[in-house]
Amino acid sequence: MFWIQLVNGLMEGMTLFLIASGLTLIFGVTRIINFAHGSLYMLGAFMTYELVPLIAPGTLGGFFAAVLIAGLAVSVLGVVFEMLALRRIYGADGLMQLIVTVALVLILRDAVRMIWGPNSLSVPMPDPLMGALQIGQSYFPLFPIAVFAAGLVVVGAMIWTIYFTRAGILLRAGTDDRGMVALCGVNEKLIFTAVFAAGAFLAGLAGGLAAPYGEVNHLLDTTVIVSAFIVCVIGGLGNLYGALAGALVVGITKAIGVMYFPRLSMVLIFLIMALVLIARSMGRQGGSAR
Amino acid sequence: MLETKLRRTAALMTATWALAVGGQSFAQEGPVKVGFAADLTGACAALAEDGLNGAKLAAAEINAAGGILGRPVELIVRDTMTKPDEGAKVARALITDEKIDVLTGVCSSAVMLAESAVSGELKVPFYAAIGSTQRANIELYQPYFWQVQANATMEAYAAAEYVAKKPEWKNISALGSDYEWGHTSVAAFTERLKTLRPDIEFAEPIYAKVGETAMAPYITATLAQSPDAVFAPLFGPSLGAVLKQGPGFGFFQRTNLVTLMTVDTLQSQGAAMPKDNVYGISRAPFFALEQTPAVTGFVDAYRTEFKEYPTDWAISAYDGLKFYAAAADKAGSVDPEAIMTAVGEVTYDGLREAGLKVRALDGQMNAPVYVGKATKVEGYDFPILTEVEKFEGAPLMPSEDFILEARKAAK
Amino acid sequence: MTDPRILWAQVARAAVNWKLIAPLLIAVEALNWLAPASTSTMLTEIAILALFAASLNLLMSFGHMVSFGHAAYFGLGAYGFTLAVVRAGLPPEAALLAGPMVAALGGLIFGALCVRLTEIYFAMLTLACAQITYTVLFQWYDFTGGDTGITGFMTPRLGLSEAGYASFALWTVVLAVLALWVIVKSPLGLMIRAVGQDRARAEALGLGARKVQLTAFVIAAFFAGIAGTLYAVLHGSAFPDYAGLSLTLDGLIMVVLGGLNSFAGGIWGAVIYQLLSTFVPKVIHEWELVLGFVLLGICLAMPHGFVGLLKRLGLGRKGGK
Repeated sequence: MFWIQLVNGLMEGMTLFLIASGLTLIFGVTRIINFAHGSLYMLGAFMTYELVPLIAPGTLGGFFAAVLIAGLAVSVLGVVFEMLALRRIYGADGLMQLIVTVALVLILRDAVRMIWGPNSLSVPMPDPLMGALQIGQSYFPLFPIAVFAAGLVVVGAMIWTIYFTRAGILLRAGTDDRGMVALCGVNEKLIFTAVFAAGAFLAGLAGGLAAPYGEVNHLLDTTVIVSAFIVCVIGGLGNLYGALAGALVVGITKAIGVMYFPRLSMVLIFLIMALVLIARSMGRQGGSAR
Repeated sequence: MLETKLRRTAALMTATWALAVGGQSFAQEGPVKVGFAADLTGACAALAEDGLNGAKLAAAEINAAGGILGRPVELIVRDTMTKPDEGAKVARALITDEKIDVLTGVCSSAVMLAESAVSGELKVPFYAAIGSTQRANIELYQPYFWQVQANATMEAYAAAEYVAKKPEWKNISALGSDYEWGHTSVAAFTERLKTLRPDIEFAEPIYAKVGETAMAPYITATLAQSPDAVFAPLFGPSLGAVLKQGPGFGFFQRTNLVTLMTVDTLQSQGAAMPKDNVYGISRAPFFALEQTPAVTGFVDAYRTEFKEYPTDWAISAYDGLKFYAAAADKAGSVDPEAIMTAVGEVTYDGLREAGLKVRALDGQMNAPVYVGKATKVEGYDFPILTEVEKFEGAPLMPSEDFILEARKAAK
Repeated sequence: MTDPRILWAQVARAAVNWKLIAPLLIAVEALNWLAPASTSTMLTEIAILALFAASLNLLMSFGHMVSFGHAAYFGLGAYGFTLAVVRAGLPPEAALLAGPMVAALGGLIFGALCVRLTEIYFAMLTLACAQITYTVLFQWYDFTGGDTGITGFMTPRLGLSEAGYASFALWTVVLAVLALWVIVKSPLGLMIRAVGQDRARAEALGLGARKVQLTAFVIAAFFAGIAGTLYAVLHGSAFPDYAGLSLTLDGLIMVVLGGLNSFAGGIWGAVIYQLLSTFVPKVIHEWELVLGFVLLGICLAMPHGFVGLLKRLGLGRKGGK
């Protein structure tokens, strides 16, 4: 059972990474804690719900196409929000931006409820991914394996973008020192908008990919956002590789935890985060943990 | 549940319904006010909305027939946001400001207990039609309370009765959500099944975080116990996740799932429902009720009005309000004391069955529980329950002695 | 100890505002006694949440410590009181003191861990501590009653009428806020601000930064505990939700809405936010949508909060910071 749980953990870890990656990306560059990230994730799931029956239903290609389009649609919404709301208050305290994203959470949740109603919906799984890979007496479900593979593609695309494109150079520069980037004459606003677009896309993508593996409803936003934060914090906010490591650690600990300390499941990820943070504070005596 | 809720404080829109019923002339006393303090936003939103719809239909029907004691029924709706403190506040405001005659609406156990406490304190009748914690019958009982559906313990007993009739099931596991409802359901199920079938082996129960949607580790752990059947009192999203994630582990080939499966769950699963080995406990599946003219008429009216099939919650809330009307008729007044006496005496023929009664000792209605097999059939675009077995409410109710003992123990 | 004469001078200086605040308080009291009972309940809630927000604001505006887990101390206050009645058998009047003490104790334990970190990592550790608190309240059935909470253990409001209890809560809160004001203006308050503004410089001046921060944390927890206790008495119940994330978020919204870096910010924010979230849902079913847009509008129109707006209009008091 241990090995199956390990695989379960890896699978959940990748889903968590897909959610957390966009969040940590946005924070890394803009220093904004985007509380609406879970709402964008939820929108991605609902968009996928609408698109799947339209594009070659049941097929693998149709599903991934639907998810990609959903991600893009969410990305557009993210850009609109950034340009209309967030951009106006970059000068204000960072917390004001947090509250603006909280306002978006409220708006999107009720909007989704008005459009799709309060009942849970179900996104059909693509037929080829329905079954399981059976090895001896052990079952390994295909769908999360496919999500895992999709996650690897996203990681690959990120690494490529970050190291081999101009956008990636700006991104790295912006994460390190955004003032300097601005001094170099790069349009800082454009970078922010682009990063927000990318982050929102990742949120929508994650929501779409996860949609067939659970229920889709207007409460998905809050289910997701806190664990996404925790993953980011464990990995170091703004650090993509950290987020990947954090996500896998959380996923695996949760899965293994079911076997050894089941009563802790509700609080487990908070305990991991607390331990990581406390260890961090011990490691850097007197300094700030950044 | 699900902390995670951002919404704050407030009471909700006054939706006044069904006042103007064409041509009816009512007495001068003013309407009978039903305070509907429901969890319209938050984790319970979907259930509460269905309940509200059922109550609206009941109110319209009562008014069309001349109202309660010649007075029209008015629903005053408020949102509790699925928060107990908000529920208490809203209930209090309905009683003190709106001068309601009766309080109802809740779904979440915590909100239900909070509202019941207010009802007891201010001596205004309160009935639950969705939320069903047995704590409200036992240690937190107060004399202005009753509930019109089988409580959580009775549902678990019904599941045990059903499982007991499957001789081929010898090893039983339990997978529940890790909160009060999950734990008490597993305890009651195990207790009843042990007496019915001493031969059955029980594995150590497994509890999942409330609202958990990554159920793969729990599915794996449950299957490792090699059970013939799994009793699963799981909270909404977790149950949906088991149905979606189970097939990847061969769950529905390797074992059977016995779980709470109301009409809304059946609908939300749609085509994704596993083909076999899912057994649902249900409170009021419209397709399995005795198809009396009242039932078919209600289903038709509901579908016309709300463009969907009525869920268990809608039927329960409908029966709840009609039962109150019946009690008021018997009492000849809506005075709280008179109502409470009548509640313990009146017999009501409801949608779920004829002869529904409330036991005065603990405010529990002898409501039936249905258990059946989830199956896709022609004519519905969602799976329904077939081979449905109806368990009468009375034999599922804990004995009066048991209630008194439990109350004493809690003191 | 602060010299009593200096202390009096502080109170007297605060009294400048009394010209404005006193009529306001009298108006609120008049409303309380004249309006229906549910208005009194609403006023009680506003007062309680104003204290909660003010205590959070002490951390945020003066200590520059953003807490994502302040509801924990509200919850500990509520449960400290409730459990003192239910488990220890204290009379409710005596248990009133237990709530804030338990909250302060919680603040001491968690604070000692949290102040080792700064900025977002500090915030996330406070979140972790709060969630651990929430989980304990949620799962420890035998002691805390678990997720269905503790109800019916006392007469709500200590048997006072709605208006009577509103009055009691209002004046308790006024006293507590006054105490917070004195703390902010005291040498301790100066130290808290010094560490908040520039930790390195404060340390160079010989201040033990962590010790100062921990003191501020415990004080904030204590006052949040008073708010939690008042709330538990108001409803005569305690539920894990009282320590939940949604209350923490509400507190943050209140402080930011009211205006950071100002003593009165949290209080104004609580009043505005509570009024909005009481009345908007009465008007429209989609109240979250409307509340979201109103919040968005307020944030964009006054990025420095309500107090910032007051200052721009020339109504603000000088030197709030």
